[in-house]
Amino acid sequence: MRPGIARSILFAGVFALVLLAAAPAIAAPRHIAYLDPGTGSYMFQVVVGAVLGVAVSMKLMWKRTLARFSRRSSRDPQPKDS
Amino acid sequence: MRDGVLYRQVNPVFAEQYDLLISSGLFAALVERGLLIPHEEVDEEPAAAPAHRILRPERIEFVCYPYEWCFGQLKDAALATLEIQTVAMEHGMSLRDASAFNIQFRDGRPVLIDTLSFERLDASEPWVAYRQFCQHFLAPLALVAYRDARLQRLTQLHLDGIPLDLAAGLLPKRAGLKPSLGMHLFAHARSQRRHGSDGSTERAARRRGGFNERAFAGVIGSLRSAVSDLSWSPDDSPWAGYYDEAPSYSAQASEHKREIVESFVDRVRPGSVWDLGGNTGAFARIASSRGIPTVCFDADPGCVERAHAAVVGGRETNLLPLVMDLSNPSPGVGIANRERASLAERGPADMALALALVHHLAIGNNVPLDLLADDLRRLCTWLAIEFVPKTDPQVRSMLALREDVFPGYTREGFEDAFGRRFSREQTEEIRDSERVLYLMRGR
Repeated sequence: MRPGIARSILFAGVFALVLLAAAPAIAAPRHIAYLDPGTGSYMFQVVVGAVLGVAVSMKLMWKRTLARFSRRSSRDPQPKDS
Repeated sequence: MRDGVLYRQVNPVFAEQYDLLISSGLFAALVERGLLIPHEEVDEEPAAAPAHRILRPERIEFVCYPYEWCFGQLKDAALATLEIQTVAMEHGMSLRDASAFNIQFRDGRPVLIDTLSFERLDASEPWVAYRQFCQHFLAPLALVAYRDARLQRLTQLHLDGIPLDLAAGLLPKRAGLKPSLGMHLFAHARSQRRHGSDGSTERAARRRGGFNERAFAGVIGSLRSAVSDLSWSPDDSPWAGYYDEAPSYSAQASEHKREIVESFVDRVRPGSVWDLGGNTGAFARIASSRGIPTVCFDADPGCVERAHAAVVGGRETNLLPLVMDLSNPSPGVGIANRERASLAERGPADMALALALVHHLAIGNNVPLDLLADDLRRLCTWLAIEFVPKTDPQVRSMLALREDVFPGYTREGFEDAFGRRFSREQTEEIRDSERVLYLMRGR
């Protein structure tokens, strides 16, 4: 499966989750910021950040996996796409 | 401001953040990339003692506001803000706010002018400026990309950025199908509405939760791709082809007009030039190419977009294209109508070019010549202005379907009205045309 498709499916699934979730079991501002972050925005970002953070991790894992496979399968140095 | 020089005082409460900005290398990194306005630390009397430091930042020639930008400028400003945040995080710091008003333009490139906008990074908390970024940048960009360029002016009414529920309501449903917009605009708006007034802050404050570096990077990266994917094309502008077709000027007339304007600029040697109704900047470049800081105003976002693309693509200096309707220019807005200056308050320019403009205002917009002369007198000291008579094909087509209620719109009437506020230094009739160019000096 190509990374782009995997990512889209991940997004679609988690997007649905995000719409439904909005679980208030989330963080607390520990300091008073000079700018009002907005309660709704603050909590929303934590949820979204968790999702996107996972996506970032997955993308990194995928890249490492690809790199490992192409190292294994090549005996001679070959030009690789990034 | 002191003796015409701008200073900024760093108060003790902010000493730690400022020192970290310098010691972490962030200040140097951003200045080197042209993303932050440089400053010098100086020895000056503080405005209110005690002061940790007094800074003297580099001046911006002409301060402009997001509601005067074209789409491309807003997009560049948004991407610059995210880049600044990314570089800041690499140095252990983070932006405290993401207001579009913190960005100014220098030689076509966006630059952050709020040097004190940085704080120590604490990745266990989400980005405090996230809401502001979505409202100041993402929402208006999406509205222009998916609906209409004229919606960018909404940022003049909503100085803290366009409310997300308003943006979500104005955008087509297909915009929400795009995951990044669906998240950062639509779902974000719903979350804001849900937690607006339900006391959840108090409940949430009693718990602790998780954010981390990766989540932070994920959010910033997602915002970056959301902004990058938005685009707008000025192809439908009725004005962008004005100088390409130029039905009002023969080649000889065009050339002569250009020579005359060049001679005016060379005679006056102004320190600043405003090109009023400057289209894509053809004449503004006469000044900017001579190293004169020039602002090119046009009411059509399409023209300004093209002018901006040319400035960026050609790495041009000294030219700032902006959207401005001279029959309804930027007013003073914000607290006491003074937070953001009106157009006139940011002047006067040493010299203004009002070429192929008068007939649009006097006939197209019914502005009496007296009022126009008054208005222009407030905006500039020297004025290069073109009179377009009623016999001109453009004016004839403007009057084709209207009653001619402009008995005073004659060369004599024009010279009379302007003669009261300006002295006529030079008069040049454009060869092979009925138009006349004047160089005037304000009384």
